[in-house]
Amino acid sequence: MKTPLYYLRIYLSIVTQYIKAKLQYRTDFFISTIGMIFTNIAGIFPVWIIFHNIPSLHGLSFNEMLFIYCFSLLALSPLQLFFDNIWSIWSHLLSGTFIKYYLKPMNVMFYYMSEVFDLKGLSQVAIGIGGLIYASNQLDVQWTLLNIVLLIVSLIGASLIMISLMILAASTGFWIMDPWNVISLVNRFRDFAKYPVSIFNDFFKFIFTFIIPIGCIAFYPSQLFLNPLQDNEMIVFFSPLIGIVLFIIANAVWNKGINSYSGTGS
Amino acid sequence: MAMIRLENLSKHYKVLNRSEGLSGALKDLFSRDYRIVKAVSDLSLEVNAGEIVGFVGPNGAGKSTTIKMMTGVLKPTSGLLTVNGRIPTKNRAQNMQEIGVVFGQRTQLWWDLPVIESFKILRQIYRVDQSSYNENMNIFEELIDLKALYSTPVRYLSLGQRMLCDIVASFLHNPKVIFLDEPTIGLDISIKSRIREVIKTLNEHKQTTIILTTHDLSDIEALCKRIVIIDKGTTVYDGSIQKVSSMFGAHRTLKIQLPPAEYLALDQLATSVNGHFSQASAITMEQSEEGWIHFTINQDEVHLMDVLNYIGHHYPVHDIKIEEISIDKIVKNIYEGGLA
Amino acid sequence: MNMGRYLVIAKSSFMTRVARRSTFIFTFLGNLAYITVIYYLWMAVYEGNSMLNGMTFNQAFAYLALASSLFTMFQVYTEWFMSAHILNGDIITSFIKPLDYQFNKLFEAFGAVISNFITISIPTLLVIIFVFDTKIEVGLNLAFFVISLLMAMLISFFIDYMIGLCSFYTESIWGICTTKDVIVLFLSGAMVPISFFPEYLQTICAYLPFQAIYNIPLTIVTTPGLSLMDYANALAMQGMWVVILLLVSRLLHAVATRTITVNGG
Repeated sequence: MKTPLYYLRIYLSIVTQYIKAKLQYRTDFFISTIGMIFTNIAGIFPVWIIFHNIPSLHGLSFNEMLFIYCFSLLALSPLQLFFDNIWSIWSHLLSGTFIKYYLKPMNVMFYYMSEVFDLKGLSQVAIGIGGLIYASNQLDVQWTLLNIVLLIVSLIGASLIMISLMILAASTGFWIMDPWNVISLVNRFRDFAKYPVSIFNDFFKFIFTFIIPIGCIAFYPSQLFLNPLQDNEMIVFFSPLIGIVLFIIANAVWNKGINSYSGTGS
Repeated sequence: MAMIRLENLSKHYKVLNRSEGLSGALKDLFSRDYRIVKAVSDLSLEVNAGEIVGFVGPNGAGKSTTIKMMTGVLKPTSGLLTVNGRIPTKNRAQNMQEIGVVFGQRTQLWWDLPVIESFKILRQIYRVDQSSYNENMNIFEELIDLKALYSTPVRYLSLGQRMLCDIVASFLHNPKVIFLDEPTIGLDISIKSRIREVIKTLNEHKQTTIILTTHDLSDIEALCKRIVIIDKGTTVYDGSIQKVSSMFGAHRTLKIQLPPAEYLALDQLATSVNGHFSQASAITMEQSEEGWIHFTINQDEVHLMDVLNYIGHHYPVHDIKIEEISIDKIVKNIYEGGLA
Repeated sequence: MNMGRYLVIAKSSFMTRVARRSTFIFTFLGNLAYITVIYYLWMAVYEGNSMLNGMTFNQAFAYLALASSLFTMFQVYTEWFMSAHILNGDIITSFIKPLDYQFNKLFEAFGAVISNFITISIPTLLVIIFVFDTKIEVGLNLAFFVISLLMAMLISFFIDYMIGLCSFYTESIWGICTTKDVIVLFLSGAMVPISFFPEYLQTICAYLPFQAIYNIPLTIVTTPGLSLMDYANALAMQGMWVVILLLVSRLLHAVATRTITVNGG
């Protein structure tokens, strides 16, 4: 059996080498990082403008919105950093090069995703942490040990939600060959994670909580820190659970996909 | 001992019969109008440990489907298949520990990384211990000037250099079986012969079983004692390469192009050539597009130069090409009783 | 200039686009999701206010929903195709053809925009009007809206074209295109109507070409009771940007291509 340690060591050696190689193209890293920073700032821009016109949005202050937004940036960072190769899968599937990932004594998803580490995603982590610290200072969030543990656990769980949705989207490619459109569509939901689910009517509240659980990426788990702990509904604790369940499903679909995909051409 | 065993192996695909147009596309969503494509049917084969077997066939003969089944990528529809005593699709990841695969056009090395780093990562993936790693790297160094390439990122290697690196890399973990799928495709003669040398030396040194697919018969002549020819998913010949070489080694394909005005004279040309050379069975003719005519000539009976001289003398030849006989022609000949 | 040839280019670009059925189905679904979210977001913004910055909820929503529909319409990836062409060297073959490269790209973009308009924007528009029950004034504004859209498309194209030219200097296309997209969306009013911006940002935007892509056509179509003078001013502003950007982009084109001739590609 391959232990997690085995995979961790391989991942580290691939990624350190990959970073070394990429850093030789410093301008590319620099320009991509600028693009990433702009994208992340753009995410909060509409909210910032809106709060020039109104004092609170459905009971939330600007700093609370900022907190949720930065939480979502952090929860979406693992997807950006470790799973960016999802965007190339269409070309591997169409050209048939994807079968190369079957031919190592390793897990196929691990082998495939380990090929790309998205350096520019690091700026997203930096912005997320910076913004979260700023917002929690403004809001007087107390960072007790319990809160920090809760933050880490819910971030990891929440990150699995979007990762799983994107893997599910990519997996459709094993049957339809070119999953680009599906991936782009699912990717658009990434931007919605920053909005409070409370603004929706009951129908969409249900959808964004249970069907496409983007509310569990940032809005619900943020409530753990924005409200006194005992005032919360149960749902705020559920992100890790939902994340794990979704990931198990996504992994199963992916595995079913790699078994049914036979590769085109020779 | 049989390292690879295929018994009545079949792979059938279900293909949806697509209807045309928008209404057709809608209909296809619900229809279950499949037809079965038999990519491989009732293929039986046994390969012994240490053998190099040339595995050839025309495009679409089922070669790559068979290779994909042997490497555990595809699950057979029916039949028995074991590689190294194991069923490839069961515990795929574990089985890969004992197998090496090289695909002509796709590298297994890391595109952005220097060559040596790819080898180090492969060492970790296959858990090769330091001493056998060093030993193998020394062998590779003797075969190809690997050190000179150490720091070059794989993306900057020439196709030939990359292929050499890919081939030696597939031996790094001392696998029992290696599949080489078109390792010489797109390479020039000099690098081809180096690649053959490397494969031959490593096979002798390590007694690795090798399955080699190629479009180039000379690869097989240089490396294999045994050749398996398949067509339409099943074996049409399995035996010594010598027999194939002696049957077809003297065959050449002469391609001649006539100027457009002479296109119409093709029938006449055929009658005239057949009339001139009495050993008519030694020459077969085929029309191709744009005025090209392909002559397959058995030089044991008729010299190609004689045919060329004759045609050149009587017709305004525009262009010529001389090639070795292709696998497709051999297969056609086998059907006509050529290797019986 | 031989118009016939360029129309053939536009037509073939249109046909290629239209053939990709699944692309517009998925883009349309994405638009629906986005419009749903902004609908509820702006309902929350308008909680307790019937009017903000001179706009009713209905106007603000129509403005933003239409913006998303326009965004997908203008998204023809000119800059990405140009980069691919420049980086793999194929650009040379385009210079040999007896066609103006920029007009060639323009008509390609035009064909793609028309195809996007029919396959994505119209269905989106129907949903905005009928499902979300949004009132859009029917009158003279629609005629001016069409003219304004044409100019917006040109401005958007020239900006994309200049971004595409960057590939002569760098391979880092992702970063440049993303930054451009963000800045355009930021300062054009596509994310939030410009009238909601703080005063100083509004002033900055007024001097930049981006608001001419979204804010001007959207204001024309969603604001009732504009005078002919207002329309004329808005269109003149767009016209000015079309001319300026045309000239600047051609200048940059000349500079960039001179670089490759000097460097030998």
